[in-house]
Amino acid sequence: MTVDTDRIPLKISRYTEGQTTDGYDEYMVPYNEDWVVLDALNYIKDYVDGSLAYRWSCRMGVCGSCGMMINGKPKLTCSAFLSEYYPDPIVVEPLANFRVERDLIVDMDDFIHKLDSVKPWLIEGDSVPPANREYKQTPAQLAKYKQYSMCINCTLCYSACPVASNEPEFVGPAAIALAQRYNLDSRDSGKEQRLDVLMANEGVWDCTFVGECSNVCPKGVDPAAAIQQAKLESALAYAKSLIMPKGNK
Amino acid sequence: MTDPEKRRPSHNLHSNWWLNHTRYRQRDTRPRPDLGATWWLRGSSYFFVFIRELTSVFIALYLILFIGLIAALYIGAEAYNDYMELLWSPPLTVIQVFTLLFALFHTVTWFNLTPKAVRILKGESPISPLFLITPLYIVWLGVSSIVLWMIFS
Repeated sequence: MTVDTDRIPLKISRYTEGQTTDGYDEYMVPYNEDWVVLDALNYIKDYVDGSLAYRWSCRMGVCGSCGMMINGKPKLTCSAFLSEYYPDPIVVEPLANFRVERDLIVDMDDFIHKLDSVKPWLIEGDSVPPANREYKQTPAQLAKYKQYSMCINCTLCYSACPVASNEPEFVGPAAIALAQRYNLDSRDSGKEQRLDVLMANEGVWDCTFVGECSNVCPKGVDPAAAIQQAKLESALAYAKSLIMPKGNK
Repeated sequence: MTDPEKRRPSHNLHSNWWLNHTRYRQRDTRPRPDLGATWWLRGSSYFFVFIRELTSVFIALYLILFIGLIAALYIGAEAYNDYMELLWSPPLTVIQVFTLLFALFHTVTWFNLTPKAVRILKGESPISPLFLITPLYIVWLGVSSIVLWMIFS
């Protein structure tokens, strides 16, 4: 691959249904200092090869839909500047550890089902406010879970996780971080329901605390910490079940 | 507030129902590029985690030696002295030195990770990690000092 002074080479993974071998296409894209990789993909789509398939939406690191492997590392393409790589070639691949739908698009169904399994919503319990009254929450109560609520479901953490790579059934970093987000919410009463999933073999105990999920998170969420906290809580719940098998009944 | 649980389909879903979905997906012929067997060579953060996990192998080896030591102690003074002589042989000395180094590495890494597992807030801000890590080192040094005193006194 040759390098022009004002152009940068992109090597992009291509896949269509039924294809049996890995394929890459190479494109030369104008180098612009304020372009991100997503701009380069849009340039290819608009001017070079309209068949290239990839997801994107907001272009400002909020929607979480443009995650891809860039030179082997999971990143949001809207936040990865060409200047970080120029003049070296940029290899763009679909997110690791997901089924590839087409080209750079991955199938998110598995993640969505895992996310759904931890019930990422407020579950009503004793803390329900009177009718037509708001839930009250102090800043200190908000601080307990706020960090985890910043997750945008981009799933970069799944692509960085060697456990998710080797054990596809692992519930995974984002889903567990979001489970903790609701477990730590003073308005929620669903912790016990979520523990069923978190304490299962495919739950928190699969994690070997590599910590790369937290390193790649574009929103500064710390899923590795969430998983360790959930481990502590599930161990305490298990110990409690041994001491008090009938619970509070 | 509308509970999403109430909007679910009427059939009863087991909490791990998504596992069936995953197993179904394993029959999927679409590619699933993963990190591969050499994932631990993908960067220094992966590599150090791998080394941390590898320390367990040396700890396990040392535990075998330790069980042998207890067995020799149970058999008698002569067996114990013979076993101690064996432990001082060059290959076993090297294993024990490596085990000590790996055990120290493992301990330090886990102590430093403790604040991740235990998050204590003071008002709206988490307390300094040092408040959680320092007591661990103090207890560790204290217990080690007692053990060393028992050995050498």
